[in-house]
Amino acid sequence: MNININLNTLMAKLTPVIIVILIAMMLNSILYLYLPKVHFCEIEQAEKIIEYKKYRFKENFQALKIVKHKRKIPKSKKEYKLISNILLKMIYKEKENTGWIIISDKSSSNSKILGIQESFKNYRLTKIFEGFVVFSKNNKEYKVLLDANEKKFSYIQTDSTKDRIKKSGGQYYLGKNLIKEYMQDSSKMWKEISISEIKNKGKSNGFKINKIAKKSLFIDLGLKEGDIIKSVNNIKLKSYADAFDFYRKINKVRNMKLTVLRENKIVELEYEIK
Amino acid sequence: MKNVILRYVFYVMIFLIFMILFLPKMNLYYLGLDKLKTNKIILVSHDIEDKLLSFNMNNVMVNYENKNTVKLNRISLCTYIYISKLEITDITFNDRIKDYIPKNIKKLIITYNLMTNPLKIDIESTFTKGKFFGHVDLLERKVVINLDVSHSFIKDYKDLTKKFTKKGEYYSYEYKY
Repeated sequence: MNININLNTLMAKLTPVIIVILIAMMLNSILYLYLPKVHFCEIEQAEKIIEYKKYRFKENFQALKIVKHKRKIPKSKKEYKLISNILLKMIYKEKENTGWIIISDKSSSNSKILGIQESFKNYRLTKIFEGFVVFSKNNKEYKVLLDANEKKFSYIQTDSTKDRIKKSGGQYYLGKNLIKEYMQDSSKMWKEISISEIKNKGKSNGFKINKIAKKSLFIDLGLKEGDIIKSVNNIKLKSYADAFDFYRKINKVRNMKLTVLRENKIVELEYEIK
Repeated sequence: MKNVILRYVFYVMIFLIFMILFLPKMNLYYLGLDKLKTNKIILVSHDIEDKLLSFNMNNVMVNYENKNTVKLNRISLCTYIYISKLEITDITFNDRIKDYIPKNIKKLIITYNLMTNPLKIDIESTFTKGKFFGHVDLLERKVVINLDVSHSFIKDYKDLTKKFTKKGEYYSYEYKY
């Protein structure tokens, strides 16, 4: 069988195809130039670099001959001094020696919320008074005074709260400024509402609203005395710390859902913060 | 004349095929990751397959604002000349948001067909309690999602379904961007 291939015809037919392929390649090469070549992803733990140490031949050589046994003296652990190391930032006192406090460590400036009988660095909070609290450790009592600077509060003149809360259907609409105002002056909030932790077999089972002042924001928000707040935005409140975690982030929240136990029925209150 | 048109169609097809073959998919993936990172979304996958006509990622973790929110078993992006298809299988949401959306979505398919409708991107998904389908209208800049679910689903996911309105058999939601 004899096949005649005309090279000229073949080239004439293949040339446009090759040109098209080259154009595609060229376009992709140009695209490649503008695209990122690597992506930096965060590595959880960087590799440890070996510490530089100079090798002392003479000393090590001698050490092979004479091995000195040094008696190890156990280092005494420094005891944490509570009074000089912490700042008592806030006290919230309820009836019969219940409530919570906010303290901050001077060295790390981290804040912590402590309920009664809770411990901080082995110091247990035993009593809460107006202006000071009492910790105990090894049958000794330590009195910590409220930090003088934290007693200063700023007050803002505002319109009535009712004007800034709107209710449509089952949903409440709140002004952001209103929240900001209560965040800046937390004492105002505790003047209007009183809550206490409900414990069942040692575990927190929500926060009960003991009292709400008349004409307060919380009445306008649909809360009632005797309500037990079970969760906020589906996060169960297991301690004062959980509640305050949410309180700290409330500025960033757009929607808020409170799950409340009212007269043995679960009630959901929804708020949109504008 | 007919032969000339056919020849040009052939060249266009060759051009498109080689454009897809030579496309720097890995670099486009890096670009996508950078864009997502600006929106605080981080995709983590250690199993990436860069094939001639497709780009696949296995065992993908999606972190939003440094929180692990979604786990995806496989993301597959296939491009065939005029059809592009993104298929995500086994989407598992974090327990924290399981009250808002179904925890497991079996499959999510996003298709773009240049021939049939170049101004529309189709979305289709199935999960244990039903399915949803919809589209993105590129001209009207609108996303339409229709839910085909049971009545119990509506009750279980009140937060999600309260934004949907009933239109015939389905619950529909429209979003303009």
